[in-house]
Amino acid sequence: MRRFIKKLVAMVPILVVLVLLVVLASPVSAATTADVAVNATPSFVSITNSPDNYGFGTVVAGSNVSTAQAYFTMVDGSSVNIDVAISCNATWAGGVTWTHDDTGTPGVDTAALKASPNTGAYDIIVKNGTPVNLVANNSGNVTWELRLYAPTSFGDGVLKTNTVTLTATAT
Amino acid sequence: MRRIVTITLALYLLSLVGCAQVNPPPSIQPEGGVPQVEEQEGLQVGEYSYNIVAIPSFGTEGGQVYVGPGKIWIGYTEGMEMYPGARAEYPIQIINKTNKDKRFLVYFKPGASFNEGNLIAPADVIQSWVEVTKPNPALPPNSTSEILIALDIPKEIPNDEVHFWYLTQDGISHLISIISEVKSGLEEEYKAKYGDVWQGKYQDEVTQEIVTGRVHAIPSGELLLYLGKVGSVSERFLATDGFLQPELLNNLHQEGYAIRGNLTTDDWGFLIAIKDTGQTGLVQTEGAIKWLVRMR
Repeated sequence: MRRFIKKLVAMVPILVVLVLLVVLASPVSAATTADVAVNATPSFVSITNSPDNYGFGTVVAGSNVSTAQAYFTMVDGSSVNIDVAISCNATWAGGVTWTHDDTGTPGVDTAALKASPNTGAYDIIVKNGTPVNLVANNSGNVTWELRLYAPTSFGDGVLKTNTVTLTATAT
Repeated sequence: MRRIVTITLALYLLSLVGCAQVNPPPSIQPEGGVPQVEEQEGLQVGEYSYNIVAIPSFGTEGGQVYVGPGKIWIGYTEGMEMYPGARAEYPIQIINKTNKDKRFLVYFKPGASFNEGNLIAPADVIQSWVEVTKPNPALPPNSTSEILIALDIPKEIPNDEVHFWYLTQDGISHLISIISEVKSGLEEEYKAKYGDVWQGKYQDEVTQEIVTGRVHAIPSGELLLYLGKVGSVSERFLATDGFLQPELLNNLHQEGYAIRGNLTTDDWGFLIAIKDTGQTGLVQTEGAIKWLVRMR
């Protein structure tokens, strides 16, 4: 019996190592609670737009001028439906700059833009902040148009420019 | 006795080994396509496949630039939801299939709306939680680059950052109609009051403060800032900004135009946009990847 106890004592370090190995080899049970799932949904989205420029020409204070209806074409080559949001810069650059108005209301040196997807309604306010959907859950090409609401008065007659951005996301 | 001890030890060791298999890593069910499962230490990554957004190349460059995946779901497996203190990472890819050198801007963007039902997260809070490892990657022709995006939620989130407000689409339209109405009304008022010099007075006074005539005075600069941020703003932003005063907010809330969200319990989302900085036209395009987050 004493010999067996001696053997057992001699085995203790080995057993400790074995236990540690087993414990260290099982971090899965502890780590699981901290895991976060990250998945990606398969789909394919592709858009292009043309033309990429438009000049409204000379504008009268307080007036509004528009592109022709369906002047722009967004070509949709997606395998899934997409949302296309529209936005622009906060400032119209050039000389005495214009502020872009996010409520669609022009003012003193303050301009606004509205757009629509080939309805001629020009009812979508183009904002410089969060984009607003031009089309949602769309499949196929989209033609669209843009309208400028000129300031009610100008600080100067220098050319002003702004950039409109179309942002495509999978629906 | 020896046999008893040996059997006891064997059973003990077996039970330890058995414990390690009690909680296997959760499996993730692919939602479609041809999934390729990747795993990283401490992070379970589900299927990866290309949800590609094309950024058109203008002129005669030929080819296109692609980014993917277009939609990333974080925490949508039961038991593996996101939580304060957790970090989720995912590499997005930019593929330059044109024959030109390209430089891109990879940046955080609040969403316009999420069809999945996720709330638009307040940019003033979560923008600092989003890390873009290479915000201005340059890609030679026919090359691919991986950009690691991380969402790192702090363990402790102040209460006024947890809660946020957003306007429904109806609410936005409602607020805009009020402001437009007030603005146009004020123009007439100033014309009548000041005659030829009305524009100067209007510029001086109205751009400083727009009076709604219904609820409260709204600083116009803050209004523009606010509307620029719609979808949503945190209660911290509202407290320091002073734009949407409690009474106005309550009115909007009661009318169903404003809703209070919670970053730790609601589902929310944001965008990572990728733009070709070489575009010169006044109408430009970009691709944006949806990040949809479900909290534990």
